Amino acid sequence: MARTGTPSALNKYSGIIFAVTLFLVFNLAVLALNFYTSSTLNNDAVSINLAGRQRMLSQRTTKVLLSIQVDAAQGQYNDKNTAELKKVASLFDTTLNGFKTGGTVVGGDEKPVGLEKVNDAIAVQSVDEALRIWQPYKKLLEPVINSKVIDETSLDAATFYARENNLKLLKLMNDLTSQLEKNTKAKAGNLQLIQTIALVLSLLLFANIVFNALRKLRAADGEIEKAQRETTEILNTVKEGLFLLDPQLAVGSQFSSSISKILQHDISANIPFMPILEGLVSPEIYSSAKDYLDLLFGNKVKENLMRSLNPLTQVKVQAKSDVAPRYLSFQFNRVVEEKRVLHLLVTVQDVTEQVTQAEELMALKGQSSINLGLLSKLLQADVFQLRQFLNNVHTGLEAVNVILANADKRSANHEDLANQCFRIIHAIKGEASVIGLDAIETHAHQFEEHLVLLRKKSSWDAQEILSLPVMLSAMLEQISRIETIVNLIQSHHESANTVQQQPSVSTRVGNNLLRLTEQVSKNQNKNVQLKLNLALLDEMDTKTANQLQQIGIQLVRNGICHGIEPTAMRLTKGKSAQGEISISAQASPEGVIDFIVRDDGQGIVPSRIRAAMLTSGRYSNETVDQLSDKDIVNKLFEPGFSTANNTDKDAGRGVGMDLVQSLVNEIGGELKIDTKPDVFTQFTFRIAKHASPSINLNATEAFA
Amino acid sequence: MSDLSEKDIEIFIEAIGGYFKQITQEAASIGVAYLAKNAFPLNDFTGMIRVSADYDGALYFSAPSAMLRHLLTVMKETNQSEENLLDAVGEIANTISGNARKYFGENMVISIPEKIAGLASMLNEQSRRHAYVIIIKWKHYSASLIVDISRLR
Repeated sequence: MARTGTPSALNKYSGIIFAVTLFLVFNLAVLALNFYTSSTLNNDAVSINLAGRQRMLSQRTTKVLLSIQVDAAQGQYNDKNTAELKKVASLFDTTLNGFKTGGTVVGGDEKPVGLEKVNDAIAVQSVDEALRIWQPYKKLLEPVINSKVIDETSLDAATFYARENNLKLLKLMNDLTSQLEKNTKAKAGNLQLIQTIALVLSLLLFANIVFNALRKLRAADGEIEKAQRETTEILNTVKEGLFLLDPQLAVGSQFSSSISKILQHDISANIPFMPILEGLVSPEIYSSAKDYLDLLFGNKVKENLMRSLNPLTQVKVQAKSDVAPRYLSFQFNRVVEEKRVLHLLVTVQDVTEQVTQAEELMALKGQSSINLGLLSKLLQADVFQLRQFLNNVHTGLEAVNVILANADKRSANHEDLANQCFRIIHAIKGEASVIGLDAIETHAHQFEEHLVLLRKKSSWDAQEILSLPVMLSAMLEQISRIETIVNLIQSHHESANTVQQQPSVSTRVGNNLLRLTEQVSKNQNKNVQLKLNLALLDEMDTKTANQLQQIGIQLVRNGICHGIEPTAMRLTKGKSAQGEISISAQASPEGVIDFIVRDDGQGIVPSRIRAAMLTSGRYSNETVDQLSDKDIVNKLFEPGFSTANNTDKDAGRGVGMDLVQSLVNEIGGELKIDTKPDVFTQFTFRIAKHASPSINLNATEAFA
Repeated sequence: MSDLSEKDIEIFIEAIGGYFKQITQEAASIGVAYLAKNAFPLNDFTGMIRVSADYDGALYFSAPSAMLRHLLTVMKETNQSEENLLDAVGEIANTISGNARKYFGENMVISIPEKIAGLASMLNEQSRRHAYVIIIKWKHYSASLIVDISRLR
């Protein structure tokens, strides 16, 4: 709806304002006309009055004149009569002249009064005729008035003239009066007509104003009604939940009808919002949402800065009536007036479908394609190392496949089969971890977990038998995707002539072990330094070097997880804060080669292993008691033995030492353990002399 | 291109298991399962069905003649000519395709089974990089089910 401000309000009401002004001006004009007419009528009344007096004066003049004559006949002279004659004749004369020319005359109350000259033709004619008769009359009267004695001659002449003309004069004055009265009546009639017309017009104007005002009001009401109806329609049809929150956190009077369904709660005006939210979300989210709303109602922080703080942007909810959890998205916008937050406009959407789809998509991406993280790892990694790794994985997975294909031909039981597969997969996992290929490490870890389940079963059903090649296939698919990328990277390097210098075997193995140490000690929250002396590896064939690397991987991992103590414990033992693991390949003058891995950790202590075996709950008291210290240490090399309480990627499967033993057997030689509680553990692998042909002093074998 | 799921492959195995159980009252079981590249463990008689639409590749059921003869005997069929042995392997392939049709619906278009005697084990038209080989055991015989199918969509 448009905002109603002052300028538009003026526009809107201009019609009415104009009509009212017109009404007032018109009424004032009528009033002025009234004043004017009534003053004219006043003047007319004076004229009529004086004309009437002229009638009387004409008769009085004649009467006084005749009285003087009667007196004279009797020889008498009354000066009173003469004085009266003078007075009435003078009054008649001045008034008659007044009618002719206009001017001040003596009024009925002996006071001067303004007399307007007559304009009407008939009246003018009457006045002119009267003057024509009066002028000689006046002259004849003058000697009579002025004589102090009886002047019969003058008197007779005047009387004679008076008798001749008295009636004419009376008639003329009568005519004048009638004409003036007639004129005035006509004027009054006009005034009445004007007043009537003015009244009618004024009523019409007023009616117009009222009609227009009512029409405008009705139109405005209609607009408001329409706007309200539209708002209601919007609120009834919109899918999102919309409502206003007041500073007391109560819901406003208007809200969308979908809100009750979205919140799974009946919503009515003024219902408190927080208890509804409390029923939907966890207490932690509830409390941070409360803080957030308080912050929004405070005016201090800018709204867009706070958006990222909204704990309800995507929140998991489960109302009592919800079968499964849903995801809702709440958005809050301030409604500000005069810099004060009046309300919050709340928009709620059910985003369960989007969230579920996004999750499915993520899962799908993880399954079927190379994710970006893996890709960046591949780009960073050394291509030779990757090739080496992929070759090893292929060899390993093919070995697993051979084990599966020959499963029923051998007399081996399922447990052995699982253990054999386990060692290979574990080695792949270790190597993947060393070069940082988390995706493969995770895949191998899942494969391991599956093998752990199968290892426990005495017989496998069709599904379990089938599950192994299916997992194998999935891993092969993953590897082949990585191979494709590695090929691309390599061909890119070749075309760009940026073929990397192939690092020496000792450098490669050293770097791998350093990376592993960094990663595992970070995972285990330990502080470990790795010291290397592996130059001798450069003189060995690739296979042996790889096998020794594999042994190194397992022993370094075990050293960090089980040997090196946490920093705090090392300090209480008076050791340096940083643990140390050293790996070296040394040749004696007699040509005997020792591969030594040593850590300055807590050592292998049979009593501690016994305790850990009991704590793990996998061994009974009896079993543990029956074992000698040597047996206990030998246990470390059994498949599935572990003292770690929790299984994670680094430790706990109990296959590391088993793998070391099987690698030692493959290369040929003997493994010796030296250990002192709280001081060190050293594994010395003395490579058998009969294995010496594997030493190649001019090793240049390429990784095919 | 992606892999068939474990459940998808089980459909084929169940079809074979169900067939033997129904015809001979003796269920067939799985010996081993592994992956094969190029060289398939094929026997004397092979029934093959090709798939298309959302899937690509073929499925083989390959049995030694001794196993099929034994099967015909159990079914009281005295005519054990090569033709009849081929029919037997074809019928099993038919059963598999029927079950697959029911399970995969119109997403998997399945051809009429082909019956082949003495198929060469080196196939140059393998669909998958690794095909699934499932060794099916019935009595003391071993037949192979080879699933060389990839999902396109």
